[in-house]
Amino acid sequence: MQANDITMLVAYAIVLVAASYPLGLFMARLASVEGLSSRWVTVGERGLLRLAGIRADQGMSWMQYAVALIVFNALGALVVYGLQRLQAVLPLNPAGLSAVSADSSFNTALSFVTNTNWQGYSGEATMSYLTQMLALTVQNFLSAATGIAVAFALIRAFASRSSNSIGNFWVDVTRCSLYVLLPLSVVLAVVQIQQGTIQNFDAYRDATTLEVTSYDNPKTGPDGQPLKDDKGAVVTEPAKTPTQTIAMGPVASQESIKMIGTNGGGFFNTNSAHPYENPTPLTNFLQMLAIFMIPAGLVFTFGRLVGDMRQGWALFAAMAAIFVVMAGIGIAAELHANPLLSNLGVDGSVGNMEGKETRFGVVASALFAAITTAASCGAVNAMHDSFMPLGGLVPMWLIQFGEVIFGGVGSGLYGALMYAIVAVFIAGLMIGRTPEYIGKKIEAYDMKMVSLAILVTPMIVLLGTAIAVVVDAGTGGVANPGAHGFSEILYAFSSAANNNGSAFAGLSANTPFYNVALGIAVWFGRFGVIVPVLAVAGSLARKKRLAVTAGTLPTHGLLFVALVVGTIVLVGALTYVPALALGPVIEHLQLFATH
Amino acid sequence: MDVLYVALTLVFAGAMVGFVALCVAVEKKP
Repeated sequence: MQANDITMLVAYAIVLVAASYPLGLFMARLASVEGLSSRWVTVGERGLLRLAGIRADQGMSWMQYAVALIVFNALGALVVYGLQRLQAVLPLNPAGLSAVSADSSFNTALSFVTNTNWQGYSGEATMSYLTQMLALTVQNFLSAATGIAVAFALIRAFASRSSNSIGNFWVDVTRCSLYVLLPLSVVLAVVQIQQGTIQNFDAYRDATTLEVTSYDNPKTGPDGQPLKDDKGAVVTEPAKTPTQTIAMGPVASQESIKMIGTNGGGFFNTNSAHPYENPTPLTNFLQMLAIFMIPAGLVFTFGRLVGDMRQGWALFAAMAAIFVVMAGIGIAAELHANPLLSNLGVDGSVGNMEGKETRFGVVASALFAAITTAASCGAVNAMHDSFMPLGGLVPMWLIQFGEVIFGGVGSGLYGALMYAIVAVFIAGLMIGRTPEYIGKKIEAYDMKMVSLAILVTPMIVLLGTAIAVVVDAGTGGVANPGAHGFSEILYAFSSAANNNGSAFAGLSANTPFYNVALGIAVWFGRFGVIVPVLAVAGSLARKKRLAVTAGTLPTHGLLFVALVVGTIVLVGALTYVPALALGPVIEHLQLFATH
Repeated sequence: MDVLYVALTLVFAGAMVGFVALCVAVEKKP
């Protein structure tokens, strides 16, 4: 590791805390029932709510909140589906792209609505500018706002002194979009443009290459869709070309919210490895910062609203402890040369550069991978499929922790609070007292809902993977049979069910089987968690806040931090280590035992 | 195919509303 790498790591930690702390305090004002006080600033909010017939002071029960959220997101999915299917006859389609296939549209619709942004397609070859903007970018905002809204509801439940309401979903979504996501996105988009990210509606451009390129061209049917064989793999034919088509488009506006909203869906197939999405080391740094800024900020929002900032710092410390260890393992693994390439005479002195951009290097790529998977972002600036086995294990396991290490916008905090409740519950069992957290008694119903919230995603991941590795439609998409192929499938279901969206790209997932199976995973992995979280919020909101006594377990000290870390790591290890042993662990042993 | 996928989306949404109802029922159970 070089001095500039260390400088970058230290600078990242400092800037993250410096930026997320004030943001968290600002979000605390938004999460309060009163919201912002300035009538000038809130004119848009009041206008939109009046137009929709919503009263800002009208609270919702957890059930009303959950149903509003589900209906809102289901309608969003239908709109995204419709826009993809109709894009051929809609404007802003200079490349003349045909309608997206039905199964891919279905997968993408559910994926973007759930903040997953899993992409089985190649953006520049599939989506018109209108679809990219009106369907995908809009959902980047709304799915992020939905996540923050749920976190707000849960925080208010902890802070309340006995109430039947957990807030108003429509108000939360409006405020998050108007005052957090939109301003931050505009600022980042402008910086991105200054650094070289494109923002236009131009037609794609053809450039003559220095030498003729040979490639496999997908065959298309009369409907313009790629032809597929019996196993669902795309049929190709050899082709040559002296030109290269350079895709254009409104990239910066999508890129900024893609990172800030921890969405991760790229305008281009290669995502943040593409020079138009992530042109310089500075944009790379800002993108990594953008991913963690809101999730880290929400921890401080929590501390502020429950009236004890130490509670927020304790969660921050637990998240940071796990993150530093996991990122360190990932960076260390990637600083090793791949023995297979070394045997071919490739210089491995800088580490494993396969699948990485030279403008970022090993450390910034491995760190990006850890950040994007600790959060539910899923944007990539390097190909995770080309990481060393243990380097690939790190992003996969970070996803499997439930993305609670800072995590997704909103989802990271409400997921972490579920683990905090489990930690308090276990501590309560140890000392024989009714568990309490932030002055709220944790009772049987709360623990049932917390258990559901924690167990839903592992069930989807492990069942989905198990089915995919035994049916032909599942194994048909694997280009690398063996341990690595298993890792690709496990990663796909882990990524989908935890709403991450990144991929071990070697899996051909744009098939009806994977589009539907992963569609199921993204939907139930998102709302199957949100519903019990809101149920916990409803239950906690009704309870009185108890005063701290000598018998109360302190939840702001080192002991509690260790308990939360232990709970997250133990649940993640017990659930996934057997599956990880079949994939990246075996691959690591095979690689280094034979070489 | 469009009808199938639109229906599937609505079924998924319905399943989640059903999940909400189930959680409420568990909550109200004495």
